Amino acid sequence: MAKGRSAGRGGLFRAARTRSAQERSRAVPRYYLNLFNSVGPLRDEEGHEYPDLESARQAALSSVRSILSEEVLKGRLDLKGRIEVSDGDGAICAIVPFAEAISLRLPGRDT
Amino acid sequence: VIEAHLMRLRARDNLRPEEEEAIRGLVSEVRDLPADHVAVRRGVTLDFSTLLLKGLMARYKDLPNGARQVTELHVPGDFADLHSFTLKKLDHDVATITRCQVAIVPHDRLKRMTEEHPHLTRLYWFQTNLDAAIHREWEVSLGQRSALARMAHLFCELEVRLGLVGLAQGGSFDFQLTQEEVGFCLGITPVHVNRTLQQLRDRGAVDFRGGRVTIHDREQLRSIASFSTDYLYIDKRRL
Repeated sequence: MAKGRSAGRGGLFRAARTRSAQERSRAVPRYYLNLFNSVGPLRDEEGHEYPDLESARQAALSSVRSILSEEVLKGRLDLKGRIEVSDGDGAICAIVPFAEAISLRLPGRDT
Repeated sequence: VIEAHLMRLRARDNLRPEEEEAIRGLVSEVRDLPADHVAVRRGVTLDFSTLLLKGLMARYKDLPNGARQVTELHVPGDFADLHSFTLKKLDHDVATITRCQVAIVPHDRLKRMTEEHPHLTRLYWFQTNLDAAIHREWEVSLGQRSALARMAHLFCELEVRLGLVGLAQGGSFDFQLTQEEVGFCLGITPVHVNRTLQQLRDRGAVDFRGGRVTIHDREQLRSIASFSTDYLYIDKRRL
């Protein structure tokens, strides 16, 4: 499929800087960060190579924060969503609920 | 080989035949570069500039924490670093995104051109001014536009710039970037790119899949982006 060409590049010219050609040819796990929130499910069709699952989970965490930050600018915050990190076989490897990506301090609750 | 470059120049000013000859004479060598390859590394002393003939390249900066910001994308016909002629060392990297073909333009040939062809010198000065205008517009995007408007703006800009060199037809053009790389341009994460793209798609404005952008509703896309072609200076001038 034509889709493959950009995704199939393995991507990101990030690789150009941080990894040698030898390292790049070695198999690196690919994870998919699928978003579920009030807008509905949003599948990550491209996926991305991460050194390990923890890096993928951190990327999911950053993504949640990035999306929430833009929502706050519009004056609302919906913490009901989540990102599911899945592997190439579609198995869910980690779940990052929106509510766990930030710590909240609400007025009147603290001492 | 440098037809795209000449097209881009001719859109801005008339070229005399001997000037076109002089421009062709600037090229010392044509090189094929693989995708994801750093073509110009920051801090390295340069005695040539790189003219992009085929493919896509990016200017970008990396921060120590691993964050990457693309500051401009280059399309065929663009110099990736005409500014290295005066700067000699760059404060940023330039990398290929796709496989690219580039022309090497030695600085001593550029120097001779500035001495023999004052009109071309002004036209090449215009090109670095144009880079600065594009950087300003991206600055405005990163500082003031929403993710949705930023992405819409990027697609509007690329359509115009690729159209000038005959690489965008009917609102459609090749754009072989991963979502992460689009994120490097827009300052957002890949998931945010995916979501923002879905919003543009749902509105029927544009689609981006399979390495290809298709603009379905240009008027709406430009309105979302508050895009004007002013900063791309696509009109003819007499320099």
